[in-house]
Amino acid sequence: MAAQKINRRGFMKSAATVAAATVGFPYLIPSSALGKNGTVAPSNRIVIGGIGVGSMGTGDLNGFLSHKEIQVAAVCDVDKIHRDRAKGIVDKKQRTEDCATYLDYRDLIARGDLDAVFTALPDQWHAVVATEAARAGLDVHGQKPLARTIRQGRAICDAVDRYGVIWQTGSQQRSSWQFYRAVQLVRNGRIGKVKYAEVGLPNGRGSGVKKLLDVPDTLNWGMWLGPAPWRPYQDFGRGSCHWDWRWIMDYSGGQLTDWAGHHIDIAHWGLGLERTGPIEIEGKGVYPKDGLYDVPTEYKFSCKYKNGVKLVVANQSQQPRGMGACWYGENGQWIYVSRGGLWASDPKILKEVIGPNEISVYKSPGHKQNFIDSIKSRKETICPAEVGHRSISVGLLGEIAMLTGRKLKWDPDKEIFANDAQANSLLERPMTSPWHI
Amino acid sequence: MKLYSKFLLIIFAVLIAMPSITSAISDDEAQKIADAAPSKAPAAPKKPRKILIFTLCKGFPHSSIPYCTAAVETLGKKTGAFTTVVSDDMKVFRADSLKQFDAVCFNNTTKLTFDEEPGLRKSLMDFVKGGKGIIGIHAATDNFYTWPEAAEMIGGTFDGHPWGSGGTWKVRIEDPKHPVAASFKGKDFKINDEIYRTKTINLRDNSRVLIGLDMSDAVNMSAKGIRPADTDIAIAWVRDYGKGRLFYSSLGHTHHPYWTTDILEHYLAGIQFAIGDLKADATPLPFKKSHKPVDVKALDSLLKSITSFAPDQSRASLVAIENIISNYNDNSEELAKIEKLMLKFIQTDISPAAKDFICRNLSVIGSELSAPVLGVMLVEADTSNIARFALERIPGKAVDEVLLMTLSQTTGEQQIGIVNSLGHRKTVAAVDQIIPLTKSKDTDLAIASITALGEIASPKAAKALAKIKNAKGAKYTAAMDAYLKCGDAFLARGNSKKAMDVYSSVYKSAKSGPVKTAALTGIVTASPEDAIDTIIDVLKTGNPAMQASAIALVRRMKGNNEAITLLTKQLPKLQPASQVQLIGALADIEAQKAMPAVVALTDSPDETVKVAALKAMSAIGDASVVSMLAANAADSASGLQDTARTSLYEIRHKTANPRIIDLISETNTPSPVKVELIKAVEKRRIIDAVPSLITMGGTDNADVRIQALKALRTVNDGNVANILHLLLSVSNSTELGHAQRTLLAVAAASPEKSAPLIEKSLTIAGTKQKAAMLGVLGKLASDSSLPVLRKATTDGNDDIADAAVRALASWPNTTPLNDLFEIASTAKSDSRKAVALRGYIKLAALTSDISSEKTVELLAKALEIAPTPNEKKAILAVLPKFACDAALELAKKAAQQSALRSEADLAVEKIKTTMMTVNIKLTASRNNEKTSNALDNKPSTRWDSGQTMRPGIWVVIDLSFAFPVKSITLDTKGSANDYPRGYEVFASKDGKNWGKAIKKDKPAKKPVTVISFDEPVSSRYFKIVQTGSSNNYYWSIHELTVQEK
Repeated sequence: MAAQKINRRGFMKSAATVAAATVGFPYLIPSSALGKNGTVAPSNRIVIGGIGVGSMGTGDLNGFLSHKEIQVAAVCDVDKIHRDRAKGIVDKKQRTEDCATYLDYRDLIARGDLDAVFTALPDQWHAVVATEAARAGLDVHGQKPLARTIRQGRAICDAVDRYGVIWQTGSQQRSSWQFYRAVQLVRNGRIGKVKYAEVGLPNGRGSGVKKLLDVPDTLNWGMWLGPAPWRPYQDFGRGSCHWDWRWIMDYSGGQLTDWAGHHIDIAHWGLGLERTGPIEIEGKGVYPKDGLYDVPTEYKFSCKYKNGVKLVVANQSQQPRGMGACWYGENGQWIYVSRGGLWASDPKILKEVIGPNEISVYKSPGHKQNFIDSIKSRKETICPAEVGHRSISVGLLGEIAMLTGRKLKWDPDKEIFANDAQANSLLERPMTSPWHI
Repeated sequence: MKLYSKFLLIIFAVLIAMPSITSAISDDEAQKIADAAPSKAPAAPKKPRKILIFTLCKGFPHSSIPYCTAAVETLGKKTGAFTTVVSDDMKVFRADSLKQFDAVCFNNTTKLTFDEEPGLRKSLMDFVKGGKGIIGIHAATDNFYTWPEAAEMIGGTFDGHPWGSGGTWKVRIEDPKHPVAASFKGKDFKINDEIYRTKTINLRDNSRVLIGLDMSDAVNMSAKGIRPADTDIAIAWVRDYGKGRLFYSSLGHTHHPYWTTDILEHYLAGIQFAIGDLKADATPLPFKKSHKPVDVKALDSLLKSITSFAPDQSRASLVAIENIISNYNDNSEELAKIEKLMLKFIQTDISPAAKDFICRNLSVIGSELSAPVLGVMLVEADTSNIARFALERIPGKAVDEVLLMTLSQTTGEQQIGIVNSLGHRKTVAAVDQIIPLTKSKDTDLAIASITALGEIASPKAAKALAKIKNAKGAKYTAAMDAYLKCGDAFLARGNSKKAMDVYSSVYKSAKSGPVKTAALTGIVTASPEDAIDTIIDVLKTGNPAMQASAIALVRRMKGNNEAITLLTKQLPKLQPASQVQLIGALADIEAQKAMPAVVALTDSPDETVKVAALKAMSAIGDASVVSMLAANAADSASGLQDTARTSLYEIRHKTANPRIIDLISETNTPSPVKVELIKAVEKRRIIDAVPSLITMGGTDNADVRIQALKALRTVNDGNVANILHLLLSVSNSTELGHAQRTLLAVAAASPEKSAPLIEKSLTIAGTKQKAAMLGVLGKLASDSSLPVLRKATTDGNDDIADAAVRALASWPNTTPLNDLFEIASTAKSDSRKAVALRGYIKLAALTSDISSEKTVELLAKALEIAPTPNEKKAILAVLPKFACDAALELAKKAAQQSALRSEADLAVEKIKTTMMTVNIKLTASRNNEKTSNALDNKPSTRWDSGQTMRPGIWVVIDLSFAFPVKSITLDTKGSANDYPRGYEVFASKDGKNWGKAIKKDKPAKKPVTVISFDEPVSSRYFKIVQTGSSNNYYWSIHELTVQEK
């Protein structure tokens, strides 16, 4: 087993040397001059790099490549197969052979010519990479959930704030019409004062015992694990570590934390509580009795907020409407939204007009376009770090409440639990050396 | 006075009549109770005590009531602790009656409300709060659903009983030494009884729970209907309430508890507590999952079983260990025992994965006890990281000391890890040892040390970091990041001067853009007032990137007018890209002072600046920009129309609306601009603009007139006369159409009032206007208009007569049905006949009014008078909407006419199909009330089994009559994993005799299951039985559809 360990320090060294050579402004120097025929002059393109180009990262890569303002200069992945495939996509689309490839994200960041990066990594990596990118002054499109722990999420928010970089969490539902419309109606009191909301997320599943495997030549397993505790290479579900890592607590909280960035995010937005958090959390999870996966297969917890609002989050089988977010007004009216559509207790509600003096809800022209616009305008995106952090915090607080089996009292301003040292210790996951934020 | 004594008489009559209820008990049973009852009470009564035993059931009446009455009576008599009075009359709770009692025993009462007469609720509350007692036996929580105060007093409300009276359930004693639970002698027991789940209301905060269900018992956990949240199932509790007391026990659904000695002693002690004779502690206790000490032996052997655990083996034992830990997670004494066992185990020769598992658990439950053992592992290369995983989270000085001690004994990654952990723990005592490490030649160690100092952020750490300003590359970036964090720490401690020193010095010496930006962020945070000079300086001299950073920080200066003035001055001098950013920032902070400067930039030669300036107007503009925005909105050559319109529609300033109204009325406002302003009136719903809109409706520019008419549809004051006036003055047919729609929109708000006004004006209207008005009357459908329209259908002017027929045809209910039939049969022109017939068919088809059979009758009449095959076909086309036997008959009859055969056959087919779909009924073995969700055409709703999939759950489809079915589709897309794991399908003619399965299958793991038959099966009933199992998923059906041959 020990023979499989990788000396991570080699990467540290190489990164440090490269970084030493770059001091300067990696910012975009924007200009308004548009090229002819609607194309963008090369000097005005936003130059980005992708860190983590597996399935989600490739999706994001294709999304960015379809915007003519974007030039992808580099991709990075710990799996050579992902890396080379991504380069192929970029070069084909951009009709060059210039897309650089990296194993170590620090080498990509240290290039010094990037305006922004997009990241799609296992959750244990989010904070380490995001804070490093922010320190280098790079704008970041970061996949949800914001971070694996509440402390790590806070570190991202602080770094984004300190370095004045633009952040967008990949909670792309915010940029879809039905979710915007649902939130606009709820925020403007069309179902009256909201006292209760419910969120349904996917059911989880268990697994059998999984085989240990030889690390493929193309994969740097030590870098894949990064700050997570060491574990020998193993089939996580589909013959490799990719994708099914999400059901193992070292890397993710399962469906709950995967989807918190969608429907909890939307519920928070509608409640106008997207920059704070609950004060009380209580719930119960059902965990697999055996097999590799250790995240809850069923979960249900309720959160109480300072203003008296109650939010109940559960896997879809334990929610009356299944997947989605539903807000209930004081007089029994409701609005329910999911990827399948938008519904209300009275269909007339959905036709209501919102006037100029009512609450104006952030409207995005499309998720990636919103990120690109913000890179230029320096205005917050539709899902800035703080909001992404508060959305996943609900999922992470639920995770801790279920693990401790207690009703927890939470201070959303200081982000600590009252009188519960054990719960507080779960706000962070210690990192394997040498990684730190 | 007279009245009063009369009441008392009634009360006593009731009280005397009661004892007969105990007659349901046999002498034998009464003897058993007498034998089992203790002869001595735990406390001597301080004075003679009297208890009211209350037995009224407004809901379910328990058969155990007489047994409970007999038991309480016997306890009182045999021990002399109290006397009893039995009643089921609410009047007994009147204050004057209640005062004679020391306590009330709610003996299995149900659905009590205490709202029979005023004062009863107050009387009971005064009784308890004043120092008396409440005793609740079994169903006593099945009350007070409409009286939250009482529900809270008793601890909650009944919420089902998964642990039914047919079972035997394990009860645990939570508080063995408590006098009210002492009879159980600390021994958990099993009992055949019905245990309530209570929807508790602050129970654990108010009451001391004495006994509860043992939820570690497998039988308890497997009860039908149990929920994941069923962890804390309290059975008996006591509490103080005001000056009074409450005792509740949910035991006593079955009869035998009433002749079981330890339960009778439990009741007696509880009653004496409630009366106030037995002193007992009612301080609430938190819920503890396990009340027994850890089974050390069992845990030890579980631990031994994982000695050689590897990640590719079963985790069952690990999970079992974690379950034990979780049972004691609220009990620090027992956790310490577990910790000790684990520490002993980890020092034996065990596999790396086993060590990993133990360390992970120690990270959660460990204490300073773990420090020495983990400290040893910390210096070993193979275990260092995982030992630190535990240590980093364990609180306490001993852990800090172990980390500090090992810091000098380690090198490389191990040492870096320890530095990281000390940083995370913010161990101030580590600063002295970490400072020298920042100078290490090992860059990784140096950076880790720098980062740790930034996390600790003590003044000494700050001082050390300040000296690393000359570092290069990553070390420099890390050092400045850490140093700025020290600045934040100074600020958090209230020392803003020190904080400012840190930020300013980094700002001045910054060697990279990001570091300079970060320092500037600090300056703005620490002192927004002072920061503005720096920001202005950057705007004057900085490069575009730094300017972008500075401009973004402007968003933190909301309300700082001085800053806004200074920033506004710089605006014209900036590069276009920076101008765009600054305009956006000023708009975001609603800096109205910046308006003139931003307005000036709406003329910028740079398109993006123009757009930004126009956009900003919604936030910072006021009346003065309305005209400019409207002009831009009207300028089709500008390319900025949409931007200008959006801003015009969204200006928040309160002066905008009056200005819009004024500009509409001003004669020198160009017409295209007026059109834009009127659009804004509509979007902004400016009700004050209605007079202007009316005026504009009569102005000489057609575009303005039409726009005003359009706007009046949504923005109006309900004045129909004004709109009528406009309509009467219009003759152009396009405009007449607009005026007609506007009239309808305004009049529709109150049809009964508006219609007579319109009717009256008909006499002064020209032909075209009259026709338009009749059209409106038809849609308004006021009863007063019918005679008017009827008369108009015979008007000598064909245009008017036709319009009247059309109006009747557009009537929204069936009232003019006969008129239309008459016209369709007798009108002089074929076209008028056709209009009337179509109207007749349409009205006949208004299903909300009449039944399908009635509709078919009407359509049959229409079929008779329809002049051409085409008209007849049109009728056959609507027929399937009213599928019923009569419709089928009619269609079949029509099929005999060769000219209609193909349409009629089609109608027959459609009617058959519709009859089947509409009449499908679904029943299910579980959650039967939800089956309609599977037939509602809404994929978002579903029927589900309400429990994980087990063989035997079924649904039955009733098609109303036998039909050849080719396939049945179960759509579960909304719950992708809830497809049946296996199924058997049965068919039946009567829904009773099912015979053998006609199909068995294990479907593919897909959210849509299509059950298809090789040959169509003609049957009325189909039963689908789920035959597979899933530990995690329900069986759900979001939509069920049946496909015909």
